[in-house]
Amino acid sequence: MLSSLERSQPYIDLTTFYIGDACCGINILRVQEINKLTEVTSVPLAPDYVKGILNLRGQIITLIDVGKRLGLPSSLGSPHLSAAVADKAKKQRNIIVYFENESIGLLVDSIGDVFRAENENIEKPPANVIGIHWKFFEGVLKTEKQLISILNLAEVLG
Amino acid sequence: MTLSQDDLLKIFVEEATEHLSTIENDFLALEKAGDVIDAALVNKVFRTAHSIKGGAGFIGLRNIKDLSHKMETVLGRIRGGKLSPPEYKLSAVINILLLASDALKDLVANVAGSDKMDISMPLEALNSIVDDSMNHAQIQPIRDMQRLMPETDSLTAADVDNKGDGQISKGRDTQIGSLYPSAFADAVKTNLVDIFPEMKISDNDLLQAKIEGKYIYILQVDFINDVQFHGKSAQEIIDEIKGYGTVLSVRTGEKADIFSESIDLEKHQFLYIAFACVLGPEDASLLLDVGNENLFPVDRRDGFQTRPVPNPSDTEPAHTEPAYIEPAYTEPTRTEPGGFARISFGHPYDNEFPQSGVGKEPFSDTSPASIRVNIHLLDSLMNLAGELVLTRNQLLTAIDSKDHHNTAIVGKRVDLITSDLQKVIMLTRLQPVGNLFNKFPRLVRNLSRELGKETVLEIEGVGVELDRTLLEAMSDPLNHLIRNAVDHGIEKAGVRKLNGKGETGKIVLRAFNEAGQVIIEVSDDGAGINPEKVAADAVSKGFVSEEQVRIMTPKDKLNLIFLPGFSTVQTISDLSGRGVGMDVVKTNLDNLRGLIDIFSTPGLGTRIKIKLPLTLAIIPCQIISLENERFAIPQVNLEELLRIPASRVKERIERVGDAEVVRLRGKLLPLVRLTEILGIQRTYVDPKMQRRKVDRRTSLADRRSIKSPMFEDDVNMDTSNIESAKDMLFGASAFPNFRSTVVVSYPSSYREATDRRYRATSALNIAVVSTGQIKYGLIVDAFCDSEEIVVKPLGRHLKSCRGYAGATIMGDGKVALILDVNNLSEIAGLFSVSGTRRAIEVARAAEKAIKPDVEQLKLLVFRNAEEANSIQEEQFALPLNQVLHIEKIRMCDLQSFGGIKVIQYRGGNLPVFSIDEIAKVRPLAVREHLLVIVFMVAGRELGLLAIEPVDSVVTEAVANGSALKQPGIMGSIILNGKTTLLVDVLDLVRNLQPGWFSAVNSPGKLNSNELAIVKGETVLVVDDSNFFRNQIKSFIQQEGYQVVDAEDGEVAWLILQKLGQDISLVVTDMEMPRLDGFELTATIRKDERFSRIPIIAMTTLADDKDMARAKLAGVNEYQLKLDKEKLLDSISVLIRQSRKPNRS
Repeated sequence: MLSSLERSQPYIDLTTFYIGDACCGINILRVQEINKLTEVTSVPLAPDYVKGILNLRGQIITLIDVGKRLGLPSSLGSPHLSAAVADKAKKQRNIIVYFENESIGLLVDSIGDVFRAENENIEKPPANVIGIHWKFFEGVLKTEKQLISILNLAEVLG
Repeated sequence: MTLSQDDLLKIFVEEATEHLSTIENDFLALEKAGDVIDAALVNKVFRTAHSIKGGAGFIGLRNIKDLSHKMETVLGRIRGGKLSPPEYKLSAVINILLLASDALKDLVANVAGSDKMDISMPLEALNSIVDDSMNHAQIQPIRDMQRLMPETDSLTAADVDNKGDGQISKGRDTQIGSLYPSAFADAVKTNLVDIFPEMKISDNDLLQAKIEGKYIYILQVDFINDVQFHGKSAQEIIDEIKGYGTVLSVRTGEKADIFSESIDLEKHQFLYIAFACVLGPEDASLLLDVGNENLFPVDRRDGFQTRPVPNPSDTEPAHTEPAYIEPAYTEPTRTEPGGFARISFGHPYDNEFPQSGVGKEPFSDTSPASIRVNIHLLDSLMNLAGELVLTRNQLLTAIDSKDHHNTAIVGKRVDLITSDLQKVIMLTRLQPVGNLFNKFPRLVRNLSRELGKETVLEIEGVGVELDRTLLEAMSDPLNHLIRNAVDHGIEKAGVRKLNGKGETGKIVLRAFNEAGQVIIEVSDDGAGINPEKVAADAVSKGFVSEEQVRIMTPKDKLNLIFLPGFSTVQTISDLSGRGVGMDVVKTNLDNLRGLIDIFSTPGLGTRIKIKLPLTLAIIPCQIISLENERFAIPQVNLEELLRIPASRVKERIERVGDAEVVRLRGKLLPLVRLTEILGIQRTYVDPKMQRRKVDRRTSLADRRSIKSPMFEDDVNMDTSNIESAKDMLFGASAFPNFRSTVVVSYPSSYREATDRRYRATSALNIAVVSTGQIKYGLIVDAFCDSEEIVVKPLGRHLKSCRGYAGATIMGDGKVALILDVNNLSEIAGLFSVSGTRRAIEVARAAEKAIKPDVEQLKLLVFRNAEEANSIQEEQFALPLNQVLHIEKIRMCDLQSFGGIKVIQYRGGNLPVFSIDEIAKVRPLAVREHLLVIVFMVAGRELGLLAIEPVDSVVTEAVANGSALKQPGIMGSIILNGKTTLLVDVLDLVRNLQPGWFSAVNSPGKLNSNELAIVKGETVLVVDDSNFFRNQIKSFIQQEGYQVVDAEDGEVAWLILQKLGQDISLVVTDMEMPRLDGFELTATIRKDERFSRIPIIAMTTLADDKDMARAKLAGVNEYQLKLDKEKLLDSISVLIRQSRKPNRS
């Protein structure tokens, strides 16, 4: 249903967020909610990009560290919280997306604006976006200020 | 239409599925009844087929309707008794009906694609029945069916040439031999012309009908069958028809049934109604609720001529094409004449409809989306919901008014209602296991036919209820087990006869509740599983080495069949044993948190016991903590909690190779650090720096030399501030609910000053968990509460982490992971059978560690008197299993009557005594509080006075039966360097109350005549412990028996062979070196000469399993060491019993 909607409109609304310095976007229709980071239970033996699990109103949500998933070095590497890191951690958000019958949390460094992208302005991703493999992106959108890379959720969450 | 097509479809599928679920067993019941046809049952099945047909017709599901219609027709014949020519086998008909119901199930399961499926096979089969009943000559197809059915679930379009000639065509012939319904219908129609010449319909009416585009039908109503069955009067039928069309002519007639002219002798009264209406033949028959065979379409162009099969050039409107002439019938899958088309019936649709899941079992995904719920349950749910709303309102008010007291009260109510609500909701999910079990009679029937075995399936406990999801998930494993039982378990009739069993094998499928769990048992009286063969097979397949096998118990060997890829069957059969059977069962059960246990006696049968939780949604769990995270261990898997105090760690934890083990009640238990399996960095809080540090200690029992830097570190810690050490109980500070469960505690006197570990944090908390196949200890940081948790599934990214069974949300909102004990053991490299390298090491160490001839004694240690110097203190001990319980009394409560001391106890008087009354020991201390150790002797309770403290000790020390023996004292034993006197309670009582024994024994005592027979018999006493052997020997001798003794099974066996018939009874210990009691018993039982000798097992193994094992081996009685009275009683009774048949 979503995809038909996506196709039928001449534009998509993007929720943008930052991973490190990179600005990424996903279709806003995928986004269920955006939360501040609550207490996360780490899961030993899990893939490294799984930050942990958390309780979202009685539902267990897997929290994906998008940066790790994309192969970027974690910006909050050290557990010893310096003031700068603590400040950064405060900005971290958990974007809950609904993907293939499951709510999944995306851990991002900070949240940006909602941006309307005309379909025609979306370009095919180059082979390498800011050091990340192109398969993780559906396309890129050039705006006056910056480049928004549109995440391919199926690839990121698959 | 008010309901959407989708809704209708859903309702239809649900109903049809429900109907179909019963139909199978009804067919089987019909078959069982044989020639005596149970009219009520036939009617029931008939109605089932009928209502499916009705629904399908209404929705427009052609194939379903056609098939169910045909079934209905056949059933109608059976009901009418028209289907019983002598050469006709009911079972063959039932076979076909079963087949058809399978196909119908398939159709219903894939309702959307049902019309595209090929149902020619079952239809033809059904047709062949119908045709047969009309034409005796043509029983060939049925024979074919019979021939082919037993082999597989496939059908054949057999002997097509047989039918080919008489087939179909343009409605010309009157031959009623065709296998095809179109032709069949044509034939009927043609016949009609002959049958109803006098049925007059005016040309005018015909013309009118033609102009209006109506069909003309003649409806045949059987006054006896139809009118009674449908409960309609003739007038009502006519009125009904009038609602749809115009009645042209009505007449009655007396005529033999047209379908079975040759068979049916009774005359039926029929009502014939000619009418015109716009509906096509199929719709009309549905609408009027009559079978196709009773409704005859009449071609409207020329009166009573049969309407030919329409062809495209026909002038009729397109919509008039009769619905029952379908490509599915006229072009069924078939081969060249004479050829065989073998089409697997289970999957004929897979190729055509890949979306329905290629290779999947047709029924695997038929879980209905909705269920029926008892109305009472719904009512109580409504009630509770109402209650909850009310209470919420109260709660809000109470909170608003800051009325803490009231808030607390209302809070309690919420708690109550919530748990009630939970219970009731759980109930709605429960379904009787009968729903699942019902499909197995068919399975067993078919399998036994195919395999040429005779098998009956007994089902017990169909009313036991189980969660729906569990029930569905159990389907496959049970299928496997039952197949196994028929295929591998039950022998062929001839073999059974040779082995002295009844020719018919029996499989029992049983469900019952036990301790909050549901047990499902599959047992058979077949060949059983030979553990040696299993082991040999496992070795030959390279799963385990011979060396590993050597140290396995028979049970371990049996468990090898759970290894993936294992199968003992020589020839892999189609049915079961593709080598994927049992491990699949096990994996399935693991997923359901169920346990499987297998018991088998070669030659006698196999019993497989499955333990299932009632539900999967909520499970009781032990919460543990580890490095600030909490985890839940399902109680099902939890055996016990063990805390090893810091001071004992060194002593109790041992290293075997690279494995750590703990000695637990004489057995070695492999230990696994949870941090290690989960790859969590272990930390400890440094007492000096108050910071968490990474723990680098790799071994639990620190065996490093005293020079090790680690060791020095320990010393430093010891001298550091004790206060800070208290804070280090990290579990305690993080979780207020912290409580440690101590299972084994030791008196403080064990603590040695030289042990460096005494801080509480150095204590080990071990959760002893069991997977059913293996028991191991999981070392965790701390034990928290035991809670009922709601299981929540983990997301897809965590599916690959096999260590967890799910997650749950704790009271504080945080998430805790639920550990999957089974998978953890695999991750840790402990495999589900004992044949692993690690297990071997453990077992070897166990062998070395426990000296072969040492008997474990569980003793209660107590004192009688106090001494200033504890070395001089007299310490007493008595076997723990003789003690009922211990009471604390005050000295002043002690009363004395006639020289007998009594206390008031549980509303009566309990006689008490002290040891010094009999034995020459120091007198009882005078204290304010005394202890009374209560025994049961000769059926009466009796108290022994003692003073605190008492302690229980498990020792391997050897008792000395001679040195310190005196009345009331059976000997001495050295416990912790102290000589301890072993109290002989029986002897004490005999001295104190000689009257008790004669009084009790007199009714059971033998009369003098019998006594003479019994006495002088020889008893063989086998025990590796000198102490026990001499004890037993001496008191058996006192009774007047001859006694021969042996120190182990091998010696005993030699003696038996030498003395042969002179031995009247064997008393044997179970745990012995060389040949143990179990094997000795088995050996004796195998030998014909001794098979009748009664065997009494005397043992300290109080485990149910051991008891069962001993019983299986063939012991007559199983007794715990050492109840002299009971033993002597049993000896005399058993000897008498064994002698009696000889005498008579």
